[in-house]
This record gives sequence, C-alpha cells and structure tokens, in this order.
Amino acid sequence: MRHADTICGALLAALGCALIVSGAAFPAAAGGLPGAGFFPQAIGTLMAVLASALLLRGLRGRSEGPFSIGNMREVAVTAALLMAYLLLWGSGWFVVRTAVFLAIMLSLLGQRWIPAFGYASALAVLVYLAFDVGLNVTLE
Amino acid sequence: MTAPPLRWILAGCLFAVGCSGNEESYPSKEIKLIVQASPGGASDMVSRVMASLAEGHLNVPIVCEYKPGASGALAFSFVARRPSDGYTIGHAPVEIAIVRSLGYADIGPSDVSLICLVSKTAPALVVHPDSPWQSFDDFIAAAKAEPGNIVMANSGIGSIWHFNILLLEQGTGARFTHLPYGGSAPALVSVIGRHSDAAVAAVGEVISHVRAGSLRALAVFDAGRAGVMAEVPTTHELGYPIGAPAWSGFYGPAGMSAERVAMLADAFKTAFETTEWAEFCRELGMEAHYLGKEDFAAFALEQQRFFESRIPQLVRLENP
Amino acid sequence: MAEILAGLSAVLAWPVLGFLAIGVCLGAVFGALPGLTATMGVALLTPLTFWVSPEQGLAMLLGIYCGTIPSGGIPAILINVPGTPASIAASWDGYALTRKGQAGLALGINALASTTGQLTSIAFLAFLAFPIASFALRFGPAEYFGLTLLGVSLMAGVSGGHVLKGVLAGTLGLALALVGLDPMTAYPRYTFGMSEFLDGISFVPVMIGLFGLGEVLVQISDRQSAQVSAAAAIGRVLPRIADAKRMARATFSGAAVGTMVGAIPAAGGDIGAVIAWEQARRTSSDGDSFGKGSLSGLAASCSACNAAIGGGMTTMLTLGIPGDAVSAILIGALLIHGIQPGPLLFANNQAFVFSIVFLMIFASLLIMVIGILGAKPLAKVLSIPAPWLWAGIIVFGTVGAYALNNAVTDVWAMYAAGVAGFLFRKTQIPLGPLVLGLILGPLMESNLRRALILSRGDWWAMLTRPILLVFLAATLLSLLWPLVRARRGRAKRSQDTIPDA
Repeated sequence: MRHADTICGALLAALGCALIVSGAAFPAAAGGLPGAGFFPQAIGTLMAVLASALLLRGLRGRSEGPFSIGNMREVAVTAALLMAYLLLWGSGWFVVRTAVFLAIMLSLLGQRWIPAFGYASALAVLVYLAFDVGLNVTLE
Repeated sequence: MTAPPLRWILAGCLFAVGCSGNEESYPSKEIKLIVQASPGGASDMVSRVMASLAEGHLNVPIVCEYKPGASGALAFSFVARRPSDGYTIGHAPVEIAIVRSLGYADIGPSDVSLICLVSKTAPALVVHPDSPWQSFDDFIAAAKAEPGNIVMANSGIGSIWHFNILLLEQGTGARFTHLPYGGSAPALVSVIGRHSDAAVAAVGEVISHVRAGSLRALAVFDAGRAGVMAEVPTTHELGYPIGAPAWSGFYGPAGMSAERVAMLADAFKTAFETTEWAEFCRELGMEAHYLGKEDFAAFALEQQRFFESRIPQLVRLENP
Repeated sequence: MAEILAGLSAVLAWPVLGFLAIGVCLGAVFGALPGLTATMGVALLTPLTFWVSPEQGLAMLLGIYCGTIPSGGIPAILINVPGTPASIAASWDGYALTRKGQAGLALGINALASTTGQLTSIAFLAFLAFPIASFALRFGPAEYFGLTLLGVSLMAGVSGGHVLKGVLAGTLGLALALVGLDPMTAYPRYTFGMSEFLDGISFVPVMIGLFGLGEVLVQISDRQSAQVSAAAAIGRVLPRIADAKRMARATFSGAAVGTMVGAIPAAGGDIGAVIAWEQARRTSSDGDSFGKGSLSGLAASCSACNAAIGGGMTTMLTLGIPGDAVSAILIGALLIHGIQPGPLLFANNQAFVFSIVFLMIFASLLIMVIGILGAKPLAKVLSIPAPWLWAGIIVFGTVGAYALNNAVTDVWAMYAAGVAGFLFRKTQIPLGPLVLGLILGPLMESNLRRALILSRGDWWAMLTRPILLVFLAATLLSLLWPLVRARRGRAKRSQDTIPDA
C-alpha cells in the first residue's frame, strides 16, 4: 500500500462526491440548458473516477514507507510562524512586526541572531518603502 | 485596528517631511480614496482624475487604493468600517444602491456619508452595422415578432447594464435571449464579431466603436441626448421612458462631521468646475453632472428604492 | 513608407527614448518580483503620463509592458518562482537548468527568446494586423470553448510522467475555479456566505503560494540538496551557435503560437506559453528532455509568452478591444490623450501606429541587453544564503498577494496554496495541470454555456463551426499522442519529466 496515493485518492474521491451532491442543489436553468450545477457535477464525476483509480493504485502498490517530509521540525516551525504573522495582519506596526517575524524565522533556521535581525529589519523597511510609500498599499 | 504613527515617523525621517498630527486643521495628512474596482476601468479613471484635480485645493495628496470585488460591496463595507475622520473616503458608483438588493452585502447609501456626485453615464443600445435594424423601432418590432430570436449580450447578470436590458423588455414588451459576459468589453466584442445581435453598455464604452463604424447605436436610455452621440435618439423621445444610468460620486464612513463633508465637497466642486474635468468627461463619453451633499443623498436613496422595488420583479421576469 | 519614417522620427527623440528606458527598467523590477504585476506598474505610472507628451507617456507604458514579461522569467529560472503568470512554463526547464549549474545560459536564453518572441509578434502587428484581428473576431463562445478544451487536454502532457496524478490535479484546479458567482446566472457557488469569495479565488496569490511559498517550504525540508553551489551555478550566458540553431524552430513556432493566443481577447501569455511548450515537446526529437532542462523547451515558452504582447496589442489597436488588464489601461491612457484605438487609427494615423511599433522594438531590444548584461549579477542571487532568500520570497510574496486587491483573504489564499504546493511536491503531484485548470476553468465553463445558449441547447449545432472542429481535432490528437508514442518507444521506457518537482 502506497500511503501518499491512497490518502490523496481518498480525499479527492470524497471531494468529487461532494461536488456531485452539492451541484444537484444549485438552481437548474430554463430550456434544457446546463445550469449552475452542471460543471460542478461534471468535474466532480471526473474527479471521483480518477481519484478512485489513484486510490486503487495506492492500495495495490508496493509500500514505500511513510512519506518523508525531511526536516519536519523546521517546516512546521516556519509554517506556524507564518500563520501567527498572518493572524496579526493589519494590527499595526507593520515594519517592526515584519522584522521581528523574519528575524525569529531566520534564527530558528540556524542563522545567527544579530545579522539575522539586521537583514530582517532591512527587508521589512524595503518592503514598506516599496509597497506603502511607493505603491500606495496601506500596510499596517 | 488603530493606525499607529509609525508610518508617518518613518516617512518623515526618510523624506524630511514634517508631519505634525495637528487635528485642528483638516486635512493635515493624505486622504485615501478607496476605489471599488481594479485599476484601468472607468471608476479608476474618474477617481484618479478627480483626486488629482481636487488635491491642490485641499493641500494634501488624495491617494487611490483599489479594493475590487463583489460589485464593489467589499470596498463599501471596508470604508463604512473605517474611522469617520475624513481621511478614508470612497468612490460611490451606482452599485452602492444595488448591492443590498443583490444580497452581496448589507450596505446602502443610507449607511455612509455621501459627499457629492460628479458624473453620470447613460446606457446605449448597439447593434452590428450590417444588421437589418436601422432604428430602435425596427429593432423592437423584430424582437416582438419573434420573441427570443434576438441575442442580447449583457455585461453580467446583476450589472447595471443588464438591468437596463430587463427594463427595456419590461417597457416595450420585447423578449430577448440573454447572453451574459463578464463585463462590457467582451459583450461588445461579441456584437462586433456577430456572435450576438445587440448589447447595452455605457455611451462611453460604445462611443469609440460607433465612431469607428464597428457598431451602430440605436438609442440612448435617457431623457436628454448624450453630448457625444447627439445624433442618436433617446428612449424617452421614442416614447419609452426607461433607463437607469450609471453614476460616480464620493462618500465617507457614516458619522463624518458636516464641516469635513463640506470641505471635501467644495474641493470636488472646484475640481468639477475645471476645464480638465469637462474635457475628461467628453473624452470618456460621460456627462459631467454635479449634485451636492443633500441632492446626492436624495438621489441615491431614490435610486436604492428604485432598485429595491424593481430587482425582485425583474429577476422574476427573467426566470419565469 | 512616409508613414513609417514619420512614425520613426516621432520617437527618435531623447525624452521619448529616456521615458522608454525608465519604463523598461521599472517593468524589469515589477516583473522580477512575484507580488508586483505589470498592471500595477502601468496603473501607477498612468497619472504621470498626463504631464508629458503622448509619445513620452506611451513610451513609458509600453516600456513597462515589454519589460515585465521577460524579467518575470528571471525568478522562474533562478528560484523556481514565476514573476508573472506568463512565466510559469519557463520555470519548468529554466529552474532545471539552474539546478544543473547552467543558470547563466538559462537567463541568456530567456533574454534572447523573449526578445525574439516580442520582435516576431511586433512584425505580425506591423504587417498582418488586420488578418490577425479578423481571426480574433471569429472567436465566439464555441471557439473559446475549443481553445480551452485543447488547453485542458494538455494537462496530461505537462504532468511530467505522473499522468493520473496530473490530470487529478487538473480537475482540482477546475474545481477551485468554480468558487464564486456562477458566470452565467450569478448564483453564488461555494462562497460559504462570504462576499470575499463572490469573485472567486484570485489567481495570482494562489500562484505565489504554490510556487513561491511552496518552493521555500520544500527547500527548507530538504536543505542539503537545495544548495546550488554558486561557482558552478552561472556558467556561460550566450548559447553556442549550434544550440541556437537547434532552438530556432521552437523559438519561432512559439512566437507564432504566442501571437495568435495573445491576439484572442481573454487568452494571454500564460496559456500561450503552455501550449507552445507542449507543442515544442511533441514535435521535438528530444521530447523526453523537456521539463528536465531542455533549451528548446525554455526558448519556446519564453518566446510564446512574450509574443502574446504583440498579439494583444494587435487586437487592442485594430479593434479597440483590450486583451488583458494592461492593454485596458493603455486604451484609457490613449483615450485621455485623444487617440481612439480602432480601425480608424490605422486609416487616419498610420504614423502613430508605426511609432508604437518602433517603441516596442526599442523596448524589446533594451530588455534583451539588460537581460544579457544582468545575467551574471542576477545569478549571484544563488549565492545568497538560502534562509535569507527564503525570508525575501516570503515577505515579498505575502505583501504582494495582499497588494493585488488590498484583501487579507488573498493572503490566506496564498498561504493555503503554499502549504498545498509543499504537500503536492512531496507527493509528486505536478502543479502545471493544477494551474492550467485554474486558468482555463472559468473560460471553459462560461463559453460552453454561452455556446449552448446561442445554439438553443443543441450540442451538435456547435460542430458546424470550423475553428472549433480544428480545436477538437487537435484535442483528440493530443489525447491520442501518448498512446502513439508509447507504442513507438516501448523499447526505451522512461519515467520522464517532472516539470515542477
């Protein structure tokens, strides 16, 4: 059993079925024309069929062991940090917030604190100047 | 969500621009003008030209920011939630009177401080120059003779030009096959390429094609003739008093002080009276039309009532 | 002839050429940064053009237009992050070349093929404007549907050997494109009551996430292999004569495809480049190397996405129809200067048309020079410590995704796409088909349904349209081709290309 194929296949088959079911609830068009639900159902059917094939292939295939993410910890940390950064989006102090976020990220990825903070600050100011001052995109 | 002064300190340090937060004299810092569409369209051009003409009068920059989406509902709701200090205002198109009826957002002209109206654009009915219909009456007669035979391209279900087509059907008794497109430009292309028979779009959007001879205008949906297409009759002259124009105005969050609204309205009035504005409107086929705060509010509310009363009826008409 | 000379003399003035150079340089910056688009650049600078003469203003805007697309290929090649949607196909072979230590050559080919594509399409504009325009006008709903069908059939081809996963990713792209108001009835689909989703999922933030953030996460997860050693990374910039000769066919056929696709309103360089890449792969004697650093593949996609510029300008100038957001702004700028694009422009003011042609020629030559001279310094990006580069990509990508529509939902879409892009690469699900589905989905659905409205619900009536039949034949051919090839090359079985892994 190949885990990646099996999981992807199962998830996408479920999504395909969801599209078919939800498509049936959309209003039909007059005069026998395809309505708002036609494409969701067509795509859902195609997806469900193909995903089932992938699911079968995954169940029958040779095991490749659990799929490897590599440096799992660093990826997870980066993703979590970015999530926190996005949750704070628009809460003020854009330059400081961005510099701190980047500096923490860089140091967790093994960079030394002081150069990381200097670079992060420079990057934050550069982005602020380019977008807020230059392009009139309010960053706060 | 309060804006800290950091951006100003930083900008001040970098450009040696003194920025005292003196709130006694409004305006003391740049004003953001939120445009409900993407750069490049009519809303953007109206906003940018008005901003550049009015900012000299206010002595602060007016900067356009773009927040497109949901027929403008995202921008209207965004501006309505900003502090009513007069530093965030928005461009108000006709859609501000429509989005509530369409169910896109619970916002309308009565939920904001309207400032002024600066231009109006009437719709025009166009067909291909090789089509057999020489006049509006020919066209309506043909549409009535064979209901649904004429294919009418529109700029999207729920758009202002689509409503005008529905008003036309209701007012004349004609019936068309509707072909929705994602905007006026592709709808007009489909008429130029003879994939559909007719379309309704702003006078300003069709004028270049009419001048070039790639489209023929049969009627303008208005009481008076359009300046740039004076040879084209109006629906009112032809005996069908129908037509819902698009318009452009400005507004701020609800609760703006009367003085600030008046200052902005004065600045836009000064901009409106320049020859540049008149020339800009002529180039884009719009009608320069000014309404002050009270008149604009009355007009916008009347428009909202009109759409509220008509949209359910028209939608039923389309899906029998 | 007099008109040509008049057009040339109008632009041969230092202020005009100066503004052109400013525009090209700005365009190069806007193109290279994934969050900044040509549309933003042109919109930002349009007010400036009010204060200068029409030629000067137009020179700057055309400079931006011509500068953005070639430089969008630079980050695609160096860090696998396309600067613009048009450069997605360029990253397949371009980044593979970088990983082989041939970044300089990839950048050089990008510069040369881009300019070749632009110049070819400008030649089409100068000499065949009206035939191209009338071809573009014949595109009704049925023809658009045919084009999208052909595009969708390429999904298997751009899957890099993982055909089943590729086509599945493609259907996922098509499904994501369903979010928003139904294009025909304006019924909200999968918006979950949020008005932010009424207009659908924005494409550019998703692209930044899938390619930019996704790539960063992949590189973090396998750090050791990601480092390309800087000394070996650059290599020669200009291709050898023999290589150039081998690439010539792909470059010029890419330019022809790009011009035609660009001329069709609402289809642009992104679709053109994928079609050209796939066409070059099919017709190449060395198709297996495509996606693994094929010079011809890179040349075809760079040439095609740039040729779309000339194609789009042709439609805009002859018909007054905007092909994309940038040309919509250009039309507005021309109108403000009292110039009406359309057939009358060619009849009454041919000198002005030739001014545009010459401005575009100069702009595309300038961007080539910048691209070649800049190749070595730009490739130094590869010697920046990887974490610093990641920080830059993340912050520019995040702010860029926000800046497009000033919408936080776009930033979340970018983030979700980034995580998805990471997981897809790890499970070897190709991203090319996904992107193709996202781009083509709305076009395909709305045009099929429009075509059925026009034929009064009769599916067979559509088959009377010749252009649609050509597309259907091409689609069938593209679906059957793998079978033919499998039979031919059964002896030499190879798990071939993985465009974006």
